Amino acid sequence: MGLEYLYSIGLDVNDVESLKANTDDNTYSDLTLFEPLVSLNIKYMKDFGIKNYTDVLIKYPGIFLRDSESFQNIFSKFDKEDLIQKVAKNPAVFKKMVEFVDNN
Amino acid sequence: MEKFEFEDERSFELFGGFVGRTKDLFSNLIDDIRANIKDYESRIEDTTKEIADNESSREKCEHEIVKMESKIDSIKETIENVENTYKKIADAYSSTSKGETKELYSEIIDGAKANCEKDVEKNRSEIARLNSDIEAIKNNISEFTKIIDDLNRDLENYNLELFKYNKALEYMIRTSEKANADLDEIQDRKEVVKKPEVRSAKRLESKRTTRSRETLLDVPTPKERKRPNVMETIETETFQTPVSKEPEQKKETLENSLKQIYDLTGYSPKKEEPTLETIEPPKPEPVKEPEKKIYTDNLEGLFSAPVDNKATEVTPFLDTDFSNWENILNAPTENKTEDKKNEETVNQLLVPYGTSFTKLRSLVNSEIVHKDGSKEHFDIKAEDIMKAVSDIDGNDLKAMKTVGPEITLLRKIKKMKEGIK
Repeated sequence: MGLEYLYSIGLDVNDVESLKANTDDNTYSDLTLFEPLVSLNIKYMKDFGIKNYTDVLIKYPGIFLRDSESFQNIFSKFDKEDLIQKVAKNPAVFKKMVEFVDNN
Repeated sequence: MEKFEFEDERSFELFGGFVGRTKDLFSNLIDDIRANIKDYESRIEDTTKEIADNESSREKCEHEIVKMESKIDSIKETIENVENTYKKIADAYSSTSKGETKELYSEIIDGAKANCEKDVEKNRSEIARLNSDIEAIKNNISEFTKIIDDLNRDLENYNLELFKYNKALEYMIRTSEKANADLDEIQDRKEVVKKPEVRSAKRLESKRTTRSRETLLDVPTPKERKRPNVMETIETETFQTPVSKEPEQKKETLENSLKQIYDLTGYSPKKEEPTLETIEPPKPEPVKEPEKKIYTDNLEGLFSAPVDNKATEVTPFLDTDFSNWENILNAPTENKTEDKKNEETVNQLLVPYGTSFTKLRSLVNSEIVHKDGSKEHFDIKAEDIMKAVSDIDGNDLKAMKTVGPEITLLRKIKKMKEGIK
């Protein structure tokens, strides 16, 4: 099955290749094994309004390997418009947000 | 309440360094907020300076445009003068020209005309060049304006964030002071709680030695583990301790254990889920009491968590369904009834983590694909979950707190399976 399920969520072949290149084997196998959970999290981010969610996924796939409740909790901590705007400018901001939520 | 040492050198920390860690946590939080405030203050300073620089550049551009426009006006005046001069020359010579002089004058007029046209042409191209420069400078001005607007927006956001952080700092300092006072109170009670705990641990050990060793063959023996896992903690605190003596202490310890799990997993029990009250089989004459919340997410609530002082209440569910968990764990699942029973046991085990066997299975695929393309079958059985739950350690609880209990358990199962391979 691999990561083919990501095509239906909006990623293309190049995105999946980049994602593969950017992950270690453990994360890669986690992404294939926990497909239902990862799909749920990606869809939530997409529906939330983050347009460059594919960039976030490619750069920080580990973030999506969380319980959906924990994942959605990240978004609830910040102002929606501000979050969308900041992540659109730089996907690394989302990683910082996750770290902030985890450490607090 | 902190560290417990048994006779066989085993030890565990139920609330190991709890007070100190919580105080550190508050202190770190406050430090982080202060660092953020400093960061935002420095950003505000930088942004203000940047805005001033850009405004100064924009002003310079505007001055430059004014200068260029004035130069254009001056060139236009020059053109007009040249053309007037030519007209005057032409008028003067053409009106008086007669005979041979007419030819001479004609040459003079043509020469003047050529010079005039040359000058006009030169000046017009100069005007065109200046106009083009003005356009370029206007573009620069609009760029500067855009940058200044962005910077002003950033400045506004930074000011807002700074305000929020200042408020958060104020709140955290207040909360920290109150929590520290509560923690000091807990610390004072430490010795009182510690003594009976050690006695109960000793009883556990003596009871364990009389138990069949066969049932423990497949799980790590107590000596192999330096720190007991959650199930052991629950068992130690509830299953093995004789309830007839010190029932109040026992009840409180169980609640503390559950509370710790709830705290670390971020799970809080719901009304319909099995709790102490719901799991207990009904007594002949049950006395209904208002349901008390064991744990709330609120720190203040945690410190003032209600303590059940009813000494008469026992927790028999542990003796009936649960106390046999090690046997259940090791018993071979021969038929479907056994599987179903195992599933029920697993569901009971997963209650503190806010999930269930079915939910966990729904979150995984039936196969793992590796980067090199190799595939392997993956299936979660009740035994896998039991083993994973019984092996939960501090790191797992920490992971549960951040990424959630479900993914933590699933990853643990995956790791265990990979380890077996």
